[in-house]
Amino acid sequence: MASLTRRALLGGAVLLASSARLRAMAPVSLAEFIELSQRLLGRSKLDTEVAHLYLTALLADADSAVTLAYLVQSNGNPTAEQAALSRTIIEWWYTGVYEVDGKPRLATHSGALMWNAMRMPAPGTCAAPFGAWSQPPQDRV
Amino acid sequence: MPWSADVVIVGSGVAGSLVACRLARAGVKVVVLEAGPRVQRTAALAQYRRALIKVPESPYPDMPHAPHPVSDNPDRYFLQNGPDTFASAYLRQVGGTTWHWLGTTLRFVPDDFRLRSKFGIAVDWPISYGDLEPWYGEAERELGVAGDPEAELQAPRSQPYAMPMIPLSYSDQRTIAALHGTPYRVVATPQARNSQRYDNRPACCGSASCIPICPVQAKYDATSHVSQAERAGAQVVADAVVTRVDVAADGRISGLVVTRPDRTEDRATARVFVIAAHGIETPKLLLQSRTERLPSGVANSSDHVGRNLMDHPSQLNWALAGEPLGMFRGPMSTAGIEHTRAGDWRRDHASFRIQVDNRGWAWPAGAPESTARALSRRGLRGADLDRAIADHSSRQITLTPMVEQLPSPANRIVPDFDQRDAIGVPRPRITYRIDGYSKRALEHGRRIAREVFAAMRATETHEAPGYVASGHVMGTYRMGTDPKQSVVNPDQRAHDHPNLFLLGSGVFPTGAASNPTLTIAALALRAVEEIRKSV
Ligand SMILES: Cc1cc2nc3c(=O)[nH]c(=O)nc-3n(C[C@H](O)[C@H](O)[C@H](O)COP(=O)(O)OP(=O)(O)OC[C@H]3O[C@@H](n4cnc5c(N)ncnc54)[C@H](O)[C@@H]3O)c2cc1C
Ligand code: SF4
Repeated sequence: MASLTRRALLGGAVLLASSARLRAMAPVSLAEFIELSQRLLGRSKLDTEVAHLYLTALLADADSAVTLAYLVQSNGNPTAEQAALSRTIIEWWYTGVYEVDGKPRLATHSGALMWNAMRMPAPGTCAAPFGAWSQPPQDRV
Repeated sequence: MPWSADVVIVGSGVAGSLVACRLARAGVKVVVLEAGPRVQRTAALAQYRRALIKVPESPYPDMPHAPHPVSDNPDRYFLQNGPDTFASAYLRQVGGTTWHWLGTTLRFVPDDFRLRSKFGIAVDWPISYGDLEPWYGEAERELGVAGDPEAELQAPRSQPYAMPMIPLSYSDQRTIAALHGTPYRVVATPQARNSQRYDNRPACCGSASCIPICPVQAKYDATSHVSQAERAGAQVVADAVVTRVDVAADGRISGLVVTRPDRTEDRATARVFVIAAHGIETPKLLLQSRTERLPSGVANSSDHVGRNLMDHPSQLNWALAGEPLGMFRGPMSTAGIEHTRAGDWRRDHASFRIQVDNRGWAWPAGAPESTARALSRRGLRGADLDRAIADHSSRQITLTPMVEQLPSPANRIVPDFDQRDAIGVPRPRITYRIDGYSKRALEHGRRIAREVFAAMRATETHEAPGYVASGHVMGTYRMGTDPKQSVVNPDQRAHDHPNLFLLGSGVFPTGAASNPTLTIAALALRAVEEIRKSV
């Protein structure tokens, strides 16, 4: 019991320290997050509402908030932590699924970039003329 | 409000609504009592898009007064006795389970009706393929079945399909080409999916969401017959859970008790009663209606109500083909291997079919999300990531053998009077075991899948070790001529009660390997005249 309390206290201290650091650096703005996402994805058009969900989730976690702030400021040569966070951000945009408190949540069904990569609408939306599925897939260059 | 009619039908699925429609058109006064709510397609589509996990049930409400099983948690509604898990699901809402069916409408093959006389196993049906053949044609017109008249399906036909075939997917075509020179033949699946405007519904637009929902109703679902029945004068009452069947001293059904979501009770009376609440809820209703006079329940002098529960245990095999196949386009499946349904080896192992998927690894592995996740975690970015996702998902093949299961009285569903739902109705308790006869067929299916994968120069091959459920709930109030061994007669009239008919796959004495719904519809249509004459 005693050690549990101690660990909880320590955890709280870490959280306090990191949010203090974050405040000192000023939080990442939505515009900054979208710009970062554009850079990571090599795409210019991104959904602002979806970006907002991802950013809020990242800022809610003390560790990722700090790493995100550093990542936004960094100019190439990412640290291991920054590289991992970059992969997470890319994964969220492609799958449309993000995490809050370690639990998956859906940000967007039709806006997940994987459908864009596959050059088709997400299931549930009429896709192409009747019978298009019997044709060879479009050639990719 | 009490209801009274010539015929009261319990359940508005394909079986109930087809019969309601036919009877109403013949001038019979019909009331359909449906446990679940009415569902709007646009609302269901929106709920589907919002759902994190897209299981078949995700677009639909799960109402406390009419709970339904869910595919990703077989313990939520069912109480499992084991030894195997029964995981087949169904929906309880106006229109029933065809809301999220795939739409495969194979006929059974002639031997499916005579396993005992031909192979010395299980039981024969009391009717033959020939008896049902005209009704298959009728059912195909009612549901709107598109099929390839050239496909070899071992099921002779006297009438043409209602529509020209749904074109084979590109991946089907490549699979057929790869299998040239092997013993395996992939053929077009007959399907209740519009290849042209039919029944006032549009042609398929390739939205690739047949399970769980067709956005344009190009795929048949029973809301089509619910509307037709209502137009013909039938009254369809939603949120009306039938909780008891009452029997008079003379053995006739005297009425039904209906429980509403607020737990108030009503009564429904009629000359003839039809229960079409599917393979779990129908036997549960009959068994939970037990009284001192009928201690084993209604229609159950044979003790077969709730027994002989069958599914089509299925086994997932997936691999990465040697070439792009353009997966994730069009209807979720347009072809299968069907010749494995008929043969003399049925003495030794179960009949089976192999469904060929157009939806990549969606079923076995949650693709393409899982694909995009794995590739982005590998560190790919930008155009490289796009290309990798497109290429990988395009090559994903899934083959699913679905096997017959023999009737066993030990496999059964009973109401658990100690575990009840929100309106106090006993929940289903299920005892279920898959035997060696089916397991040997699963093994054969696995072997064929390996050969197909090799022919397609596939890599990354996977075989799920166990089985999955296919959503086909059969056998629990079976049909026969002997009242000691069966629940209904060949007209689907209860042996014990002259004014009670039971419809649905619960009447199947054996389950074949083909998806059940066309046979449910054919049998329901065949019963209409007897029901009408009994009014
Ligand atoms: C994911 C999935 C895919 C499938 N794909 C196929 C396929 O491709 N081909 C095929 O042939 N089959 C398929 N099936 C099976 C098919 O959906 C069923 O066989 C069919 O829908 C059964 O029709 P039914 O009318 O007998 O029952 P249902 O459609 O289930 O209708 C029964 C109705 O009774 C109502 N009811 C239940 N209890 C009560 C009560 N106490 N009081 C009042 N009403 C009640 C229910 O709410 C429901 O509306 C699939 C099933 C699943 C789960
Ligand atoms: S692929 Fe066709 S049948 Fe399937 S859901 Fe889409 S439109 Fe309906």
